[in-house]
Amino acid sequence: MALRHRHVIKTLSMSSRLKLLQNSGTKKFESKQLSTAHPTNLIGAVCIERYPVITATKTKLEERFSNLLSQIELEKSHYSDHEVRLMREKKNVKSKTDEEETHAEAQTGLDLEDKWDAELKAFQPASRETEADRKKDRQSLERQLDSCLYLVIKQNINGKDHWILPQISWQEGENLRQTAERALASIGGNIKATFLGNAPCGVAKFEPDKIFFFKAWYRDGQVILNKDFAKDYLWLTRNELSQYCFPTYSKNIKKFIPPF
Amino acid sequence: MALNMVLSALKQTAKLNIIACKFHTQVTPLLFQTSQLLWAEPMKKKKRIDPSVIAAREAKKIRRIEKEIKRLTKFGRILKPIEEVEIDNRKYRLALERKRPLPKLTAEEKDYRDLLIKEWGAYKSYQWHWEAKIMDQLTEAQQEALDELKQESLELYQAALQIDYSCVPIEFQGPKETPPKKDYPAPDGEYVDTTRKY
Repeated sequence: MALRHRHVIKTLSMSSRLKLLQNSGTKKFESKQLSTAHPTNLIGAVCIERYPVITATKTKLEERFSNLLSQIELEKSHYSDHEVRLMREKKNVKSKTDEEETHAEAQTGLDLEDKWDAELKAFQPASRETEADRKKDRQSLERQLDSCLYLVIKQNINGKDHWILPQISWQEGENLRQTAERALASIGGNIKATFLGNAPCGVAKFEPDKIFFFKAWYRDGQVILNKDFAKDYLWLTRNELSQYCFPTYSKNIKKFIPPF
Repeated sequence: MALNMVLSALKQTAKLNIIACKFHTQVTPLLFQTSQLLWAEPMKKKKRIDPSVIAAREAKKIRRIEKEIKRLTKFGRILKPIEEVEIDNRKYRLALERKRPLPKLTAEEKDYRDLLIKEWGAYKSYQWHWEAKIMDQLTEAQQEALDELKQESLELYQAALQIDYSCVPIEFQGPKETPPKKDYPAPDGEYVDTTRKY
C-alpha cells in the first residue's frame, strides 16, 4: 500500500515536471538526465517480426502420436450416414443377384466417392515451400513460412559495416518508442507494423551506446530501402542471425528473440 | 297594562328578526340557469338479463379456470427442452445400431500405444518447462532493459511504463497448414439457421 502510494507521488511529480519542461519558463526542475550533454548515447531500435504463416512441420513423435489419436478416434466413432449407405448398397447388390432385379439407383455411394476424389484432386493447396525458399532469396517475405522472420539492415557504424536491427539515435523531446517508430519509418518502403507496448523488450550496451529494442508486429508492406539510411536488408530467421550479425550483438538480441 | 305593552313590543321585534333572516343582503341576484340538452343521444333502454344466464356464465368461467389449473398441475411447468441433455430415443437406438465393432488389439499394439502415450507425456512436459524457461528469459531481458532505462532517464522510464491501450484488445490469426493461395476465389457457402424457435 505504502509502496503504491509512493509510486503515485512519483508519477505525479513526473507529470508535473514534464509540464514544467513543456512550459520551459522555469528550468528549476529540468533534470540532469535530459540535458544535452548525455554521458551515454541513447538509441532506439525496432525488431520487426513477421509471425509464422504456416504451422511448423511435425516432429516424428508428433506425427506418430497424431496418427494414433486419429486411429483411436476412428475406433470409438459410429458409422456415418455415408458408411451406412455403402453397406446397404452392398447388401442390395447381393440380393439383386439373387432376384436378378435391374433397377439401380441413379447415383451410388461409390459414385459419390469418386466425385469427391476428383474434386479433391482438382484443388491444389499452395506449397509449403515457396519460390523464395528454393531460390534462397533472403530478402523476400515469402520465405521460411513456418518460422518468425526478423528484419535486419546493413549499416555503417564507426567505419565498419554491420548487420543490425534498424536503429536511430534518440532525440530530445520524444520517448524511446517514438525513436523506434522513427527508425521504422526511416527504413523506407511502406511497412506497416504494430508496436507491442511502450516498454523496450531488451537492451544492448556498446560503450558509449545503449540500444533499446522495441518489438513490432509486421502487418503489411514491402521494404524499399532508403539508401541514405542503410546499404542492404534481409529477412532472417533466428538461427540465421548469427551468420550475419556481430557475435556479441546477436547474443544480445537473442535474449529477447525466442527460439519458437 | 304596562307589562302587556312590553310583551307585545318584544313579540314585534322577534317577528322582525324572523323576517330579516329570509332576505339575503346581496343587491344583485346570482341568476344560475341551466340550458336544455338538445344534442344528446336518447337514453338506451337498459337490457334486463336473466339472472340464471349470468350464473351459467360465471360457472363456465370458473370451470375453464379449473380445467387450466388441473392441466398445469398435471404437467407442471412446460419447460424448454435442452437438446444437448435430452437423448432423442430414435437417435439413441441409431447410435446402438451404428456401433463400430472395436478391433481386438494385439499385445504388441497395446504396448506400442501405452509406450507412445507415455513418451508423449514426457515430451509435452519437457516442452512446457522449456517454454516456461524461455518466457522467464524474455521477462528478464525486458526487466534488464527497464532497469537500464531507469538509470539513464526517469522521464523515459516513466514513458515506457505507460500502458498502451491500442494493444488491447489484440487479435491474432493462427498459422495454417498451408499458405494462402493468391487470387483464390473462395467458394460461396450457404448459411442455414437450424435453431428451433419456442
